Amino acid sequence: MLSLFLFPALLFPQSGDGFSALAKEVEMRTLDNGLRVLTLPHGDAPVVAFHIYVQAGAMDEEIGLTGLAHFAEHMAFKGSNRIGAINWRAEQEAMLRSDQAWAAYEQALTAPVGNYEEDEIEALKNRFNSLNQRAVNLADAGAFDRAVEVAGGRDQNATTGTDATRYFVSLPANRTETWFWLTREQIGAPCMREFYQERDVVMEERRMRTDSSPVGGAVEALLNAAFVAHPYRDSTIGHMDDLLYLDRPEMIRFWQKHYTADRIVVAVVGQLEPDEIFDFAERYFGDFPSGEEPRPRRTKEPDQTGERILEMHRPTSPMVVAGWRVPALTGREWLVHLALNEALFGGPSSQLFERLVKKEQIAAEVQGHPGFPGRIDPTLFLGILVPLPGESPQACMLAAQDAISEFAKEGVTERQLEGVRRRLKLSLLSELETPSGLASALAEAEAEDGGWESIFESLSVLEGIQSSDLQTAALRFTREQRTTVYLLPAGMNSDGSFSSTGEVSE
Amino acid sequence: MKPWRWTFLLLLLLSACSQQVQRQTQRRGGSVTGLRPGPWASIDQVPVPELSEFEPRLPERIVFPNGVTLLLLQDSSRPIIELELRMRTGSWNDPRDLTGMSEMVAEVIRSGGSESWPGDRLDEELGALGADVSFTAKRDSTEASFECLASDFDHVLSIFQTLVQSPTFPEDKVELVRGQLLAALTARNNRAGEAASRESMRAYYGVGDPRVRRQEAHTIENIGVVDLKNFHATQYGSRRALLTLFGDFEKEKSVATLEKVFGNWPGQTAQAAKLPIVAPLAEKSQVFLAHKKGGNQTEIRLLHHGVRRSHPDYPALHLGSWILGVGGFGNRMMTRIRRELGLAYGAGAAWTGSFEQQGLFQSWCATKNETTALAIREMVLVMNAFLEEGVPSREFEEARSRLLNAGVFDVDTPAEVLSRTADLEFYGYPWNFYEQVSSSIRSLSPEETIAACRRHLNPQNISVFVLGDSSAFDSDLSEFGSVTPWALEVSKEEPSVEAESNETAQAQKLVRHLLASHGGVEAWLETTAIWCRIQAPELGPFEVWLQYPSRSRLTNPEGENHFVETFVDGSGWTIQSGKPTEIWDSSKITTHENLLSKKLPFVLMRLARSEYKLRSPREELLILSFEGTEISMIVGKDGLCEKLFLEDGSYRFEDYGLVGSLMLPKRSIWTPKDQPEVKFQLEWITNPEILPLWFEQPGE
Repeated sequence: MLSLFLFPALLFPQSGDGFSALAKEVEMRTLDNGLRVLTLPHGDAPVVAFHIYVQAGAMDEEIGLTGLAHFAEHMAFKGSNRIGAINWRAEQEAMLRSDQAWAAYEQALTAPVGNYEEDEIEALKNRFNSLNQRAVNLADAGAFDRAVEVAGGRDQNATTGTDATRYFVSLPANRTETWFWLTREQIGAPCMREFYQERDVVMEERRMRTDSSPVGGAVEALLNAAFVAHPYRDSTIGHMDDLLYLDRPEMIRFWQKHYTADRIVVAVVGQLEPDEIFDFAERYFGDFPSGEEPRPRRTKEPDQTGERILEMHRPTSPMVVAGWRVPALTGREWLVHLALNEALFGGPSSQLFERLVKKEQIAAEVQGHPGFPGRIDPTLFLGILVPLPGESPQACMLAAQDAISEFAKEGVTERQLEGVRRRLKLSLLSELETPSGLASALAEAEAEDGGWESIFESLSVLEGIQSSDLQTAALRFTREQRTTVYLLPAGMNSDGSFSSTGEVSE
Repeated sequence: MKPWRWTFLLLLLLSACSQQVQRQTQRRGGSVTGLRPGPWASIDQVPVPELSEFEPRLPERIVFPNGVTLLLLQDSSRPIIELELRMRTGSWNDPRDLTGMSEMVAEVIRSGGSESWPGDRLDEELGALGADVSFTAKRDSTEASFECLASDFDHVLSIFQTLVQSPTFPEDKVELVRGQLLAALTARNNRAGEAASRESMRAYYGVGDPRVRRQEAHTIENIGVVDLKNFHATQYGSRRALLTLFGDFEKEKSVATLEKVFGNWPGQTAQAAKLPIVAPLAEKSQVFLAHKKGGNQTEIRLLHHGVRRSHPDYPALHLGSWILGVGGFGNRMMTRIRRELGLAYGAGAAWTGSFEQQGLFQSWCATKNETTALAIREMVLVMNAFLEEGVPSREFEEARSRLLNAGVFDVDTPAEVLSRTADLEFYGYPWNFYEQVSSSIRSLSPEETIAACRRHLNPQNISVFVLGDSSAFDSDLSEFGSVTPWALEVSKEEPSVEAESNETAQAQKLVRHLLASHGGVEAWLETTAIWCRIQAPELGPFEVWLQYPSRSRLTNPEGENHFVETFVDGSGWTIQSGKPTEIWDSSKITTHENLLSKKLPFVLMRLARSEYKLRSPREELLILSFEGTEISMIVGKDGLCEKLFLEDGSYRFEDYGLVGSLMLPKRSIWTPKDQPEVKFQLEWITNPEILPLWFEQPGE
């Protein structure tokens, strides 16, 4: 046992060479328009995982247009003029006319009261509905999804965040060109059909994730309070009122402005020939337009000079959601905060679990989320505490803050630090077990962490992380830099007591 | 004009025209973003080469002397080893009144550790090694597993062995886990989707069904350290257990070590839980409405009986599921409910075949409150259209392609292959089961597929479960069947804060014990009627129907003079040989009602509904008062009713047995005052069919 302390290198055995050997197999090529393509031959099964990482997300939205990036991601699956079209010319005209009809109806809705009669507004609505229905009937919007599924596509999905939008799918290895063909249509030429129907779906998604979910609502409130200027303030799903008024031309403008070749990274992992992939990339993506302007700047969030506290009442058992301000988390800083998360929140031997769950027994659960909602601009480190029934949410928060301050002062022993490194290493290796995990990690690292190589360097970076790195990071986690949301059932106060009047505040 | 001018003009005209045509073509055929057409005009033209043959590596199988089966699969891409032990015990083995036992055992083993590795030392060691150990109680199995760096395997295995075979259940960790489980209970309805999935099953199966029992605060509170130790001692063992080993291990050495650790480990002494495997038949449409204030979305679950995976129709139903409601975005439910109607973010339907249990057909979605009835209507329409009209061959072939082409992904990683094979091995299915299913699917016709689906789904008899704010619904849902309100939580039976005296508190405790032993409060709440066949020497048989709260019907089915005696909410009559002979007035009613009210099942039904005032002057004696009538009962040590006292005699109950989930006596002995006793043989049926016309007063 003692020898392990003297020779830390032994704690990281030489096996795992299988993993570092992968680095030699990765190839990257950048097309003339700036689009980056990564390939990695991997695995025995005849499957290929595709991952598209677009450096465009909710933080690129303008005021009044929240939810646009996520909505656009939905629209990308509706096909183009070459897939999903039954009668393209007629459909295109019908879509343009329904857009105009929507604009007219929207104008009537938002005009000062009295400008339009009730039945005038109703008539405009009916006109829009019939034109829209005509456009819908001229297309087969499910054709894109069907084509992927018929080809044997698995785990097809997309996610929109603040920083980026991702599209991914795995296909049998004989469908590679199929994927390129479909992706050209999806990313290069989406026609945004069934826009107005899809808006209902997105609104339903908002209801599900945020409005009906107490935690979702609490997180949104946290963001709204923690950020006053930077677009991280607005949740990706968008405000309901903005969604109601989004229109198709705005969506097309967003796509053309942000989905440019220089902001797209494609990663392909599985049974493949790199040269064939690059050839396809050239043929299918080579003429994607390059961006004329750099990515728009985001308003810098001003300093926070004191704690911000919110109380929210919902039909739920109590919970505390806290966010501490942290700098942008990329490259080494990202790994340091992942390690900090492991040390503070990661499992039964972590600082907060030890103190709140085992020792003081005031919490049932503690969770940490570094880099929320995004990580390429100064952001938050989220902590979620679930008090045990009868315990005070405030007391939980106090104990957690105290535990973190103590950690910042005392740090961890070498043995504990080694445990943190190992746990993080194992969790990183787990993510990289499958072709889709590898594709996702490669694309993200290339886009945000200075290059895909950083994945393979991360293991050695981890070894170099010291307690002092974690302590320096934890020192930022002060009460003054914290936004706290107390999510409480009706009638409960943040100290766990119940108010006699039964007054409910928001 | 000179000819060359014409030519010139013509050329000018033509070039202008062709430009015009070109622009028009671009506008007509061009993309919205301005991107020019790429290779291949349509998806169907894109070349698709042959897919290379692929045989996934299968695990190796070794059986130890004690019957433990080991499956191993090597993979050296990462320096990690994973071991899982699957034992034949789970929440279905929880004692009826101590639900949560198996989960608590699992959690306390992990938190509390063993003698050589007590909880805190265990956490610290695993944390430092970066290893993970977990114990998870499922329904019919408990999975104990660990994951670690390959170089630590032997060390972590030795720790793991002590946890599986000799955990200590220290009291402080028991209380810690108890607190966590109780906390989880208070939060279990926070997520509407989870709550709906759980409660819809309870509604469909009936709360008395052991397969849908759930933890309650009082069951968790009543579990003692002794109970946990006993459960572990009798339920954890090697009987037909399954071990899986995955990762960067050295085969011979690891197998030898595992055989040493688990190869001589004895089997558990407790019997395997004997549970029904048949699902309730969908025989009528019904609606269960769980009203929850405040949300703006409703969770909808539609349920119907289904099949086991071994059923010959399973392949057709699996394919039917991919057409109707699963497998991505191309199925009918997603197309109609999400895409065309915009009613939901996610919607689906499938026959979810289980390995041992008869599975269910389920359909689901979440929609805003105001479109709840609309969504249900549309979901049922989708099912009806599917069953009645069948599937056009193009759609059928596409669905089949979707299913089969994605099949490679079920076996594309070694970990997945091992996991799938482990399930098949555990449930005794052949290892080529999925290949057989795929092969059947390949040869199915649309007609055969729909015929199978028709055999296993009748949308007229679907059960609807709904969780949402019913004040905002677009209808009262009675269009879908009779509506029963559903409570997400059963009201607690806690001694009231204003307990008048020890007698009341003791009585309440005694009643809790009584109800629990007789099948549980929920089971008795679920019981609204009982049928009994009573046989006595030289008498009867009689048949009696008792319907809560105050109706009865007594007949002598084999008597020469056939009579029927009926009581209905304050009136009564006798019919002899088809003719009414007596209609009872209120004075006679009271006497008979008194007699009636002392029927044991009625007493239990009323107790479950908290309708009595309670008193317990001494330990096993219970006195129940209801509207001027007093009933005395002796409750045995086992919690079963031993004796029931009437004014003119007493009943003794013996030979209890399960009737459904209720405990009822097969024998009763009636001892009238100063007279010899009469023995009755009893046979019971719970919730029998009651015909309303029985209770129509004759001559009305």
